Amino acid sequence: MFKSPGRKRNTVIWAFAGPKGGVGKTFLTAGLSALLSSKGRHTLACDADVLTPNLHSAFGEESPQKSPCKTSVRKLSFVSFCFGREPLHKLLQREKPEYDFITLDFAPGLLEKNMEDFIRADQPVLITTPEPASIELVYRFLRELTAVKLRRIIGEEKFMEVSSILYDMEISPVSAIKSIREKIAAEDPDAGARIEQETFDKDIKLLVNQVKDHNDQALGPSICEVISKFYGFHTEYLGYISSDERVANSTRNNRLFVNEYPDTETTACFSLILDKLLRNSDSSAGVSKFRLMGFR
Amino acid sequence: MRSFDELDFYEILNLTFDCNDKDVENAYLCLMTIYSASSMASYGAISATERRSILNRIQAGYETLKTVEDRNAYQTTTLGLTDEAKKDEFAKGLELRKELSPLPLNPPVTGAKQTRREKKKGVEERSGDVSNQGVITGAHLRNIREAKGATLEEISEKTKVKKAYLDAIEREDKNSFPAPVFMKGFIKSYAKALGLNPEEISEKYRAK
Repeated sequence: MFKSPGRKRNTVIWAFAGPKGGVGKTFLTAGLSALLSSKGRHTLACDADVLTPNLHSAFGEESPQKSPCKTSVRKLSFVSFCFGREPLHKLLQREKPEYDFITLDFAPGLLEKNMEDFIRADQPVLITTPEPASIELVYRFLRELTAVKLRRIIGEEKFMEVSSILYDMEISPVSAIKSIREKIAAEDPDAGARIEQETFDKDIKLLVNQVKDHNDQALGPSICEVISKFYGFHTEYLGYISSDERVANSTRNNRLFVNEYPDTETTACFSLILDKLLRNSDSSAGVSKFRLMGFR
Repeated sequence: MRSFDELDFYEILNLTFDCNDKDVENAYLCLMTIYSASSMASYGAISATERRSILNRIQAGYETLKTVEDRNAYQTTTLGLTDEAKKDEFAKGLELRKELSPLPLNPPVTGAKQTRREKKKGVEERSGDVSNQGVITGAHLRNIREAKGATLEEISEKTKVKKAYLDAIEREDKNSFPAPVFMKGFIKSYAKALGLNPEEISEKYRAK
């Protein structure tokens, strides 16, 4: 990962999204970006939250920044995406040559166009916390993501015809997609095959923040199990971040927790997750070995 | 992508052909916990109808694959595999086991002062393979009982153990028992009533 002039960089994009506010998207994006750059990778942390940007304060900046600026951390730059109407992927395209990694901090929930950007990232990371409301919203988020992918495959018109099946809460997305596929394949076998192949073709990563006890620790793999059987997406569990009361203190003072408290269990969690993300990205194939099932 | 009612019992329980009785039991306990109505992991994920169906499938899978004879019979009759194919799957299973993501029971809680490296290692272990060092909590038992649709009264009637004691087992309140030995006996009866292995459950029960 040394910068050599003239060499085309293979910039890797990691996207962080959470189904609701307060699950720690900004905290995680800032912490992981800082650790990433401390490993010598040129990193651009990008605030992709248009309406409520706040990543700048995690880096001690007073306001969002229109063009990339250096932070107090070496090799870490920062930019806000809340100016003008340029699409996010254009901004990324322009900044890519300058960096090894770009991290994206998305708005809670995600609008449809952001969903596209999220799923297009090399590693889309979904963050949740051990509480029913944010877990329920993870599943809702994935159903929405399925809708976005399906719409892209079959087009708006067809999508409107079948969307009620996907939004029927009595059946899970996997069953819904199955009946939609059968319905569409009857008229257009090619489209049916594409639904089968492409709807769930993207790997999602899952991360559980604010973990307090062993029950919370067991939650991540359990959610991945439910997703694998009912929500179709192949999900890799990245790990958890244990809860630490000093986090609030760092956030309040606009300081980076991982730098302020390097010797805590919480920071150890951060660096483990970073190792996993790096392993996935460096093997460049991007396909994780993690398989819960389906060995035949 | 197949929906869960099209998966075979190995796939339902996330098991490979090289699994042993203990793996089946562990997988069963984990999955019953994950899909029980009071579980946080599947909160808002599936409808009540789908929840009932998946719990039935897990239960049926457990009963079908419980012992090595059961598994052999299932592979031959239902899956229609020859001895040769079975051997292949067994080998594949061994290979895959190295990569499989284990489902969690309960990882141990770690102690006080550690170096940074130890801390990282501890977290790594806890995020990794935890099912082998599984601990059974009161909540596990309650989840399985609820998943089977049994009330404490019914279990009490079946085991002749007072409801208050069963409740204390689920709450892991060991002060409610006159002596630890009583608790152990009660746990065994409770486990048996749920169709679980009494020795193993009492061995792994956390609050004893």
